[in-house]
Amino acid sequence: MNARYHVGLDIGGTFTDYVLFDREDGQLRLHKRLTTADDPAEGALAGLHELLSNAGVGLGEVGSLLHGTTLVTNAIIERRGRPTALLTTRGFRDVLEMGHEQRYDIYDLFLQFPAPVVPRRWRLEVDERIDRDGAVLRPLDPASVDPMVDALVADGVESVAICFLHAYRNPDHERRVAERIRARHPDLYVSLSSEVVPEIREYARTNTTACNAYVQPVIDGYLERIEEALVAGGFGGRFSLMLSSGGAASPETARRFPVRLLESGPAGGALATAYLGKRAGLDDLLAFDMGGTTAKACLIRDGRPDVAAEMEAGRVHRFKRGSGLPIRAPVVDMIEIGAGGGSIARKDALGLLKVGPDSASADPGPACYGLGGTEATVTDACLVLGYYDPGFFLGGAMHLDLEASWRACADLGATLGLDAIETAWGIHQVVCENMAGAARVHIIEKGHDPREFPVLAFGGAGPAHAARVARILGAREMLVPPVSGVASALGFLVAPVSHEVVRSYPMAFDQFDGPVVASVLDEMEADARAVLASAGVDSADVTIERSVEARLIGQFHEIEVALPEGPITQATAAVLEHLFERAYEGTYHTVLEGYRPMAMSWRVRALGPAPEVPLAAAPSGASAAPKGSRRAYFPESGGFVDAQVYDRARLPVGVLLAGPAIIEERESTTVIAPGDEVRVDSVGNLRVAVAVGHAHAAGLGRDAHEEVRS
Amino acid sequence: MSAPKFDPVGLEVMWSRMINITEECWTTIWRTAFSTIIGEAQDFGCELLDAQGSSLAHSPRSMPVFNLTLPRAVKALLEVFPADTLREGDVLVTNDPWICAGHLFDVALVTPVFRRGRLVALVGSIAHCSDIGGTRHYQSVREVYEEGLQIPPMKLYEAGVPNRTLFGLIERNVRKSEMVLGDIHAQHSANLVARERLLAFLDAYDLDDLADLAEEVQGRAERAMREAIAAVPDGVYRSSARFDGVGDPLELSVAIHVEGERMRVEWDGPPQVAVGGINCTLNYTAAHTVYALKSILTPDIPSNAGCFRPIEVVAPEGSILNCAYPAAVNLRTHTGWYCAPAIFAALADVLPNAVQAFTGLPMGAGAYGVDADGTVYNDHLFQGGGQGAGARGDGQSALLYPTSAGNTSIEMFETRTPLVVEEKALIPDSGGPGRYRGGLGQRVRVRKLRDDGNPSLLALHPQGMIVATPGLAGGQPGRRASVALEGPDGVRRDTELHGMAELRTPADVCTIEMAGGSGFGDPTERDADAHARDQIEGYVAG
Repeated sequence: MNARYHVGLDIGGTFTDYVLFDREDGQLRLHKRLTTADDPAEGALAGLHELLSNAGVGLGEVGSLLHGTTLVTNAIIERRGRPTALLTTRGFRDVLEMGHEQRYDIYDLFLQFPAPVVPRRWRLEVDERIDRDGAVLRPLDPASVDPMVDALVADGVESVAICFLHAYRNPDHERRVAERIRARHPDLYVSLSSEVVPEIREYARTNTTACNAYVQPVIDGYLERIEEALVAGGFGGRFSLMLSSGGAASPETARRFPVRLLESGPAGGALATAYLGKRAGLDDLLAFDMGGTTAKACLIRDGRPDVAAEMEAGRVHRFKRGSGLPIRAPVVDMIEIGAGGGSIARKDALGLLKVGPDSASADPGPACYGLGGTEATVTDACLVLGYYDPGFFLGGAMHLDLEASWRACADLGATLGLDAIETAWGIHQVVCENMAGAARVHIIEKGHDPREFPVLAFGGAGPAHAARVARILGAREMLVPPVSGVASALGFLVAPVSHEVVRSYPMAFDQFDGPVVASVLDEMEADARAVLASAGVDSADVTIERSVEARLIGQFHEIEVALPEGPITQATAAVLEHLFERAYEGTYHTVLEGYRPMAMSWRVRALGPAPEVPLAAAPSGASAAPKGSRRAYFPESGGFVDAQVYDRARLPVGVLLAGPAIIEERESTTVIAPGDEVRVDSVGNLRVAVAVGHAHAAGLGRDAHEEVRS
Repeated sequence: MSAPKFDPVGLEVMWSRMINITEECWTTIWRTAFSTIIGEAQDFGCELLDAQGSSLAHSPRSMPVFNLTLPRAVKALLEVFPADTLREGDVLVTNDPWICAGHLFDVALVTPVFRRGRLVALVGSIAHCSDIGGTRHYQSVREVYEEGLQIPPMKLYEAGVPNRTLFGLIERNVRKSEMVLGDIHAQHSANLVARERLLAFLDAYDLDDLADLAEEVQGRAERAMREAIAAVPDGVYRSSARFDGVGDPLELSVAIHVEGERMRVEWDGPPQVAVGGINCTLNYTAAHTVYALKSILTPDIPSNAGCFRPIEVVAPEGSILNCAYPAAVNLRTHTGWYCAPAIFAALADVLPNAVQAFTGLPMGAGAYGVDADGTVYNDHLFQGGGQGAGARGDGQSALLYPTSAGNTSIEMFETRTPLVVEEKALIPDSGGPGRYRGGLGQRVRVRKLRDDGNPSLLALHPQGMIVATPGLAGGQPGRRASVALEGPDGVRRDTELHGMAELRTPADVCTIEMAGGSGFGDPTERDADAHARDQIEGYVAG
């Protein structure tokens, strides 16, 4: 990180974002271009070239390049992985297809399930069996796989997943089969469940391993092209990939465990929030990212995002839990809500106003885009309410059709007995309530009070909705950072190199064996350190974090408890028990008397140093004068009132403005309601002091009506 | 006319909030339960009810029949313990099959919620506990007394104080009682979580109670159901369904009277059986009836009491679908799970796109015994059959229906029992042929891990071993279910086992085969490409 220039590069579904950080002046240079879905490597490299030549910087001067991509996610969603086979224990080839055998919507007779990434004809069974204790029940003859694999290769299979029952307890059979395959077919990609995710429960482990194998050839080919081009261009710095967990990894690790890259973009957003929060002096925040089709919320505590152990990929119904493929891999713990600027408002069968999850996306887009959309969307509502300037969308690059928005809202309103304004306000309220409601559940599930987390907004639609979301949550502050348009790419720059290792090793706390636990953890730590060393991290700079997933004996689900620092000894048992009880009671009220806790899995996370990105303060503007005013709708003020409109770039540091006000910048518009106050802090954040929320504003109909009418 | 109390915006917001509360309640039970059947297979449900015991919202993942029987249980509990006698900290409990969910395993825990000294709501859950005492030879039972501990409406907690007498009785009457009591505690904790959330919700909206909100959400759901019924042409729609009975097949018949916005479902069936426990209480029959109808008529409407007001369900007293105390009821699913297929068949001509052919029925094999280290185990191995096909496509292979449960992880099951699962695989050719094919059933084989001298008792009650249920619109039945115990002394199959397999040594192997789903439409009309794909992937042979 000592070199002068550092680049963050985020390939999203629509746009690819770049940031170039210049260590000498602390400035960021931004670049944005359309993603080239057909050949992502080509687009990524072309954009990199544009960014650098615009800045007059040579590739050889770049010290590090941090890269996040939706390549893995899209490969699974669009089924663009390579032909993959699964070798599994005799009798179990259909586990991958059966899944949980569970209906995720009890009233839908026709619910759909995602097809497995490996078709049945390429799921083959090996004669071997390991029991619950890791003992060999039926020995393996590695040569028995030769004819199977030969046939698979002849069939065009490029990648093989190996997942045997209880391999998390004893990986020997998986390893020997892998050795055999690699010796005979060195070009085949091979993924082992005991390496990808050595955890109990065969379906999630098999699926995760199969998905890993499925995307491995794709990511390998992609990385090869990027690396070749970087070398050819004279790049001599560190090239890393962003992991879903919020850590960075070497290309080698990314090639071995590509499923760990699934949510790299959102992880960058969470890291950026943590970083920008720290800059604003805040360690606890809610990251709130609202784009065109979805909104994401993620809790930052003590300056870091929480990390969860499992997620779902490729859902058939994007917002229905259980309709996707379970992936066990560390992932920044966030919720995704079907609420964005393009979310469509409709009357449902009960006569209620529903917003999303259907989206008008970019084509035809909201009615105001004038591209053929006629249904009212969240963006149309913002336009009718006067929050957006039809002539200043994307800084004026796109003109919006206000009349079309009015028509769409009026048409929908007619079916609900509301006028266009009531409808627009209703859409705004419902979408904010949906987002706040989902965020609230997320925060509460983690045992925290939603009122205690300032909301940091980014994404195109985030700043226009965040203050109201904060108000509903009861949060007292909302922030809009200065680089909100490219937050994910910025987040990559501050990601520490990291690697996480998990191992199932059950042990009752009252039979705690200090030396055994210490040796298991040491082994895991050595593995994790080796990965960091291979990524060029100095061992003196490595931080180790250890935790245990524990539960009461007999239960099925664990809670994660951080292990105390220092060596593990027999005395650790009592400390653990105490920590477990405290965490358990926090979530589920009471620990049942007489029930004993036990450890299930152990986790070790090795972290390199967090890169320092001493971002210079945004230049202070020259004038606190508004650039104009327009009529905007605020029920707090009784309806449409004149709101001052400001150009964000011109606002000086320290200025204090009272709502109602609207602050515009190219990428987004910040809406300040009456009662709220906004200040530009010393590093250029907009900091909104949110008036104390009250439920009436959140949508109790009677009062909303009265406000509308008065 | 009084002004509307709720607009479409505020109501949507509050409705979602109530569903969220039940979802948190659900998560708490799932994550803190001790039994496989609750913690892994998720055989439970959570619900929020108004002060009269009518349903307001339930978790989207709740067991369907529990959602529909809990309100009946709560109303019955309120008759015994009227609202004005309840106090903060009370928790009501019952497993009475006639007022709760139809057999003793399903225990309801109901917690009243007070605000400003007044009862404003009740939160409750029903969960299928891992054991309730009584015999494990369910098929030999004559009366409910043999089926385990009966808990009439009682207080499990009184003003926050646990009822030690009742806890003591439960502890002494069930197998592996720490598991059962741990699960009851999970239900209790979940109700406390829901109570806290509900009170915070009322505070946030400054609502004195839920009465207006209840009237509104139930009224809207009721209107949606009425409209859906009105769209069905008036008339009487009839069908019947044959099922295995207790060794000799029996038949149910249904007449669905559609009159304008109302529906009256008249069931007929044989008299309640004297032996075998396959009798349904009317509660249970009604729940399966309205569950099937809601799936057809208003699948997208969040469920509450209003959905079911326009539907009346009747069955002759003393019949197998409306049995009288003290009939044995443990295996009520053997009869009740045929209600939906009968209803689908009855409405197949008038609503062909909304119904589904018969789905191979699921089973939880209960494994009970003592592990080599002296630990008692009592764990359920769940698996589903093939889903029936419909006008919209093939059935999914291996799916649990009509429940919301999931299967049991093999590795988790093996970790908790001294058993080994040798196979868990789809059965080729088990899906019923049709224009759309039924989903495949599955085969599961289980044996002891080693000869440790302790037998394992596997309770096995698959359905559809004798009767193959025809498909719809010309579709064919799927493969039937079966069980077999193969040992050194030979093979015993299906009904010879009487629902119990004793695994003594690793040489005894139990094979469970779940039925395939039935097909939809004429098999000769099946798309040639779909058939070719089935052959390549081995879903059909040759």
